[in-house]
Order: sequence, then structure tokens, then C-alpha cells
Amino acid sequence: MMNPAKVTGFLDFAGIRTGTWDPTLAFVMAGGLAVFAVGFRLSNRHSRPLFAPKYLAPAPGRVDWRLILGATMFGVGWGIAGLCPGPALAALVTAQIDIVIYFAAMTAGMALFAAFDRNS
Amino acid sequence: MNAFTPLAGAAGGILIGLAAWVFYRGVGRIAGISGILAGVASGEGRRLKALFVIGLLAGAATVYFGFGQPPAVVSQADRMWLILAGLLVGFGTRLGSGCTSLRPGKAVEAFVRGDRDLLRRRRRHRLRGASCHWKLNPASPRWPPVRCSARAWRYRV
Repeated sequence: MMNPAKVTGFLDFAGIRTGTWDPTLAFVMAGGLAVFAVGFRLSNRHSRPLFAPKYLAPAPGRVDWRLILGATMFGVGWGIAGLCPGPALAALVTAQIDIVIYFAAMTAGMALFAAFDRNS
Repeated sequence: MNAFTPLAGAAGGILIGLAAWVFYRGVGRIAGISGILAGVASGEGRRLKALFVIGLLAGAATVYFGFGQPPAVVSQADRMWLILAGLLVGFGTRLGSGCTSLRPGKAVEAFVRGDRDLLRRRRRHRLRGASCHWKLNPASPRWPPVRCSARAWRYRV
């Protein structure tokens, strides 16, 4: 997921017809899902985590306008750049100027949200 | 166009799942990067989150430099678009309370949570019913705030 081309290759569903679609990302998802599904259940059998007083998993929230609007903004940005926050952070180690610019813009977006959240 | 690499993809996914598992079992938090980055900035749980970021960078650097063949990192978008995309992703992930609630990593947890939720729904309603009952008692605590739905009321103690 550090490679934006891999992500945009997955998101380009038009590629299904032309044969250039790259479904690798679905395998990443499936692998993570399988492991964490088990891990999450096993973890919750214990009343508390090993090094903290309690589990802080947020309760499943309602689907509200914040989630939908946030998801939409995220999706548009993700589709353009092919990088979401985690991989963008990891890709900083490549020291590529494009990645650094993207990461800075992302951080600025988060700061903007923090300002917006304080005011509303 | 890219080569389709299902094995590398699945292996990476499994590692991500393991990392999320260790993080959850260890410190009880969901390993969502946008929340972690925001925490580093705002100071909420800063030490833990900063350490996580360092670990993530160290892991990425190990693979990138240590395996002889740095994977190509190619962005096809030009600068202005990259900046716009970054702003959208940054703002959007915070607004939607977490990059993981929007995307693969979190499809993961949403799924798991989803069916746990089904199992618990009844019990939760009963609890809420109990809280409803307390709410009508003037001496009841004001926190946590409880919504009194008709359904919850039915389960009151």
C-alpha cells in the first residue's frame, strides 16, 4: 500500500473490462480481516489489555453525515493520490518529494479539521 | 499497469492484521493511523502514539532498504492534485473519525464488531432500560447521558 500505483490500480474498476485491473489490495484486506477478526475476539476474552487498564475500542457508531462526508472526502483524495494515512506515513522513508508534499498536505487537512471541530 | 501480486498482498495483509492484534491486545487501542497522527499532534496519548509512528517508520525502512529491491513508489498525480488529495484525506479521515473506519483496515474491524454487536444488542437494550429507570430518579447520575427509547424502556429494571 506504500505504492500509490498499486492502490489506484485497484480503484480503477474500469480496468476490469480492459484487463488492467489489479485486485491485489483485496488480498491485503482479506489477509488483515482474517487475522484481526480472530485477534479481536481472542483479545476480548480478557477483561483488559496487557499493558493498559481497559480496551478503548470505540463502540460502533451511527452512520451520520460526518461519516458519510468524511468518507467521501477521503475517497476522492485516496482515488487521486493513491495513498491513505498509514502508507503515506510509511512511504516517508522513501524521502520522495511527492510523498513529503502529500504528507504535509494531509497533516494540514487534519489541522484544518481540528480547527473546524473546535469552532462547531 | 501493475503485476497482480496476491501472495505479497495477502502476506502484507496478514502482517497488518497481526500488528493490529498485538496493538489491541497490548494497549487496548485500535491501530488507526489518522487517529494516531492526530494524537501525536494533540498530545492525547502522545508517548504511545509517537512510539507507534517510530516503529512503523522503522518497519517500512527495514523493508524498503533492507530487502535489496526497494519497491517502486510511483504517484501518478501531479503536485497540485497531490496537495488537494492530501487535504481531503486529512480532513475527511478526521471528520469520519478515522481512516480505518472508512477503508480496508477498518472494514476489518467493522465486520468483527458488526456481528458482536448483534449478539450484544439485547443486553445493551436491557442496560439502557435500566439507565432509563435511573434517569427518572432525581438522584440519578447525569453521566453517562442516556437516551430513553421506547424499546429501551421496555427492558427497564
